Parts: sequence; structure tokens; C-alpha cells
Amino acid sequence: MSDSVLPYAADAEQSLTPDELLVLQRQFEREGPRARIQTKFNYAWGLIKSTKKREQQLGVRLMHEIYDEHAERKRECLYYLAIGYYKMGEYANARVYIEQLLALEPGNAQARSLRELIDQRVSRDGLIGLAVSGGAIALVGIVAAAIFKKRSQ
Amino acid sequence: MVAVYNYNYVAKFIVIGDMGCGKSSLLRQFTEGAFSEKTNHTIGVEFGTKVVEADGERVKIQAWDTAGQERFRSVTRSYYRGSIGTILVYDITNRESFENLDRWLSDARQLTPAKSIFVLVGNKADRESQREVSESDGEQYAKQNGMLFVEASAKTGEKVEAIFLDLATQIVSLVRSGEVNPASPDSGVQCTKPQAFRSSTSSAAGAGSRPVNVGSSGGSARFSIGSMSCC
Repeated sequence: MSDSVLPYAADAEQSLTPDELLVLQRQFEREGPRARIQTKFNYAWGLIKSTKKREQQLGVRLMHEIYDEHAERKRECLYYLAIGYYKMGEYANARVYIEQLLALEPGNAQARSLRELIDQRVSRDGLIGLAVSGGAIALVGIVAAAIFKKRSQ
Repeated sequence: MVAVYNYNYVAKFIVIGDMGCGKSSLLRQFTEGAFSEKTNHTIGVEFGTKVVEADGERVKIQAWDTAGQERFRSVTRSYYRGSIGTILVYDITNRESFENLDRWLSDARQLTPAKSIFVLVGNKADRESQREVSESDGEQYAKQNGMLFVEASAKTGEKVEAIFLDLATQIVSLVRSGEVNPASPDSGVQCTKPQAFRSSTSSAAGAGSRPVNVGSSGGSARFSIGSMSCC
């Protein structure tokens, strides 16, 4: 099996070191409420790459703000919003943003790769969900059978 | 349990250079043997892998393909760390992409490991009629800065494999000569050969690993870096 054929979204897998993230955070805080768009983007990106959910959530919030205010950054905002939601396990939201990017750039290999990752995760979690509910149904059956058996005795 | 790999080393590469000079296309031609005329600018960073055979060793290349747009500059800088091979790309039909090499090179020199190997690639060599940078200009720049040099075409595939193969070969020789130690986490190279084949020297350097004795008589039977090609 060659892993070059597997979908890969490099930015979804790698995190910054705490030091690197701190540099981006300090710069953002230093510039205050009128932070440069680039500074804000860098910080949002670093947060989304984090493994901590609270940081991912803040990153997504900042990325949404950039998306609303800067039309010229639309494509990267859509991409990183999809990554952020994907990492947070909010696959329906992740799909919304990756589909928007694919509507703009149908041939974008990065976007297609990310969509495949999202789809894989959805179907995997769906199967787990099925197994869990299947197990629950079986359990109900066993209990019901036991009760029925007891009553009939 | 020992994991079985079909390669001996993993080497981390980074591909850098101006927007639109064909970095992603070079990587795609290398990993998939495919080319598309119409592509989108890379967002942030992408990734590709392929196993090559260099000087008798199977090397798995992990290449980080970075966005050339200025707005991703600080984003992509975090990927330089721990890259043993740097592929610096310009477009032979775009003089500006050649003039900007200094900028890319200074970032890369500052952020990659000291032993990192550089190759300069003049891409789009198939477009001879639109050429704005002569081959000798490229060659001279590479020489001045201690880089390998290749003119290649992501479109036709010409010399694309050579870029990666030349780098991998140089890296194998760095490991063999002991100049790069794969046991060090930021070296940009990892060794995947089973523990028993590792030399005593680097085993001792790696945290938590024991020197391996082979045979009955202490040190004499240990492998040394000089005689073994691996860490």
C-alpha cells in the first residue's frame, strides 16, 4: 500500500510547538484590536492546527471574522475553516466549507483531498454508530427475551 | 515486535520558491507521474511521498510543498525545521522568480539544519522560446551558493526524478560519513532498519536505547558507522 494515494491534508495533521504558537499569539495581542490581517490570519492558522479543542475553537472564530471582513482571503479561510471543523469533529460544518471551496475551485486537489478525509471520517463514525446501536438493539432483545422467559415460567 | 518497512530511511524535504513557478507540479510529476496545465495556488502547505533507491538504499522521501504566495510566508516557515533537503525552484520564463531566490535562500539557510542539502531547480525547461533566465545564470547562482543545479520540466517530466534522486543520494552519503545522525530528532532523516543493525555509537546517543552487542566478544563485533550504511 502506498501512502501517496491516501488523501492528505498536511495542515490538518501537524501542530506547532507551544513556543511557535506563543510567538503568533504575542504578535496578535501586541497589535491589539487593530491587528493586521496577516497577523490575525497567522494566529488563527496556528490555533486551528493545535490539538487542544479550546484553541481550535478560538482559531475557527478568528478565521470566521477574517472570512467576513476580507473577501480576498476567501479561499484560504474556507479551507482552514473546513480543517478546523474537521478537527473539532463537526463534520457537517466541515463539509459546508469544503463544498464552498470546491464550488469555486472544482479541480483543487487539496480541497478534494480534504473532502475525502472528511467523508472517510463520517463513514467510519457512522459505522461505529451503527455498531453501537446494533449492540443496543441486541441487548434490548436479550433482556426482553429474558423477561418473556421469566414470565412464561 | 519489529515493524517491517520497504525502505531504510525517511528523509524530509521542503520545496520552496515564488508563486507559480511549478513547485506543486514538480512534486506531482515526481509522486504520480502526472501533470495538469491548470492548477490552483497551494493553500499553506501540502505533502507528498515516494520511495526512491539511492546508492543501494531505499529512501522514503517526505516532501513538504509550500505555498509561494507572500501571505503564507510565515505559515510555511514552520515547515523548514528539520528538512534535510531543500528544493529551491524558479521559473526559467520568469526573471523575477530568479531575482527572488536570495530571499528564499536566506530563510531556508536560517531555518533548516546546518547540514541540509540544497538543489536549485529551473522549472519549465520545455518553454525554451519564453526563456528569461539562461542556464548558465542558474548554474552560476547554484555554484556560488553551494547548491546542486537542475533545469527540469514538470510538464514533460524531464529531469524531475533526478532532482529528488540527487538529493537522496547526497543524504545517504552524509549519513554514511557520519555527518548527519539519524538518531537525532531534528536531523531530517530517520532510519527504519531494525534495532539490531544499528551502530553502537548512535544507539548510545538515542535516548533510552541500548547499545547492541552482536556476537560474544564485546566491542569488536559492534557495527560502526563507517562499516554500516545505517544509523
